[in-house]
Amino acid sequence: MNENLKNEFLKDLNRHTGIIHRVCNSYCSDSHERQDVFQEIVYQLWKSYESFKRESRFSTWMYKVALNTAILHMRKKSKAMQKEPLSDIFLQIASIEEPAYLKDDLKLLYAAINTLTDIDKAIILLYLEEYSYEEIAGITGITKTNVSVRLVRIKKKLEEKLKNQY
Amino acid sequence: MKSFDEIQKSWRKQTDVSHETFIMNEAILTKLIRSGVKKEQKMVWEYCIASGFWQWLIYASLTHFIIRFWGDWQFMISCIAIILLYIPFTMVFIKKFRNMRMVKFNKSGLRTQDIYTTLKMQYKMLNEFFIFKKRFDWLNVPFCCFIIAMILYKYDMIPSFHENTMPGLIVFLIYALLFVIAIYVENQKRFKGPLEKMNMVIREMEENVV
Repeated sequence: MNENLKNEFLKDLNRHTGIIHRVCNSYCSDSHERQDVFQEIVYQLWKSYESFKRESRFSTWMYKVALNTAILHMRKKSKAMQKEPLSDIFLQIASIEEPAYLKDDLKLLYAAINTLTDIDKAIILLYLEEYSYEEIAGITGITKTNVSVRLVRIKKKLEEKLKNQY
Repeated sequence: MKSFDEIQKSWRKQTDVSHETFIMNEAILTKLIRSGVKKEQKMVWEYCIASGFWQWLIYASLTHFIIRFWGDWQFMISCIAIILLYIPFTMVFIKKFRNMRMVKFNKSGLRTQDIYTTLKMQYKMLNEFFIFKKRFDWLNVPFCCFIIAMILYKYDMIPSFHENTMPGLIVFLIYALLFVIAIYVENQKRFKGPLEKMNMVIREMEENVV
């Protein structure tokens, strides 16, 4: 990757780092795992950036890569998690270590999202980000009708879970 | 209890502010990328070394026995036959493994597709390699057990098959059992488990919810 592209990538990445944090928080309950997924997502984004044609919004493309990476990471989860220290990089990314900024209701929401299936997590995350049904269908690969039906169920599930927690 | 819409609003407000304090600079990015490359290479090398070492061991021991028992034509021909049968499998094995890794690490980015397509492609690639590996193992295990029994016989640790078939047969079966257990554990960890998990997500996505 040349210098210009690298700078462009950094600019795009910094504008949307929140997406990676939100995906990590939704898919991983353990901080070590969050660090692992965070690193993997950044690495996958960097590897695929040259192929990004700007036909879609950067955030949409980023969500695709981040969600794919998180879901594929989950399939490797059964392997013994390598608990090696993840170096000083993550001391600089404090928010990935301990999401202390999260207010209680958001913490509860993340906890509730964590109980959903991998694909439901992706759908609700995109919905919360105010993506349209069509966009959600495009990112996940399921039909628009399927998205809307699933969303009704997911919202109901989450509301029930949150009701029990409040 | 807040309504879902209120939760969504609060989500937007908090998530917008929460990550703005962190700026990724070039140094951090380089560290992350280096660490990612290292991890990826480690994973590939672990598998390549284990599998490569095993294949090298087979060729090396067979070559050793051809030289060591030069003149014993029956034994030499058996060793040469095994090598000749094994070479095409090694080549296909390496080719399939390389193709799988190449697609996975391709810069064009498999992960930039939608989730369903990515999962389907990953499943297909891993499954194809797994099917081939299973066929390879069916050939590999009897060969290896046969070689071990032959080695023990050649070094007079067990009597010849003509004198007494039982010791040779027992050695063959014990090693076959050990291989089957090792292959079963490896397949569960590297193939069956991940394939089942991926298939679960794919099936869930294909489910007709209407």
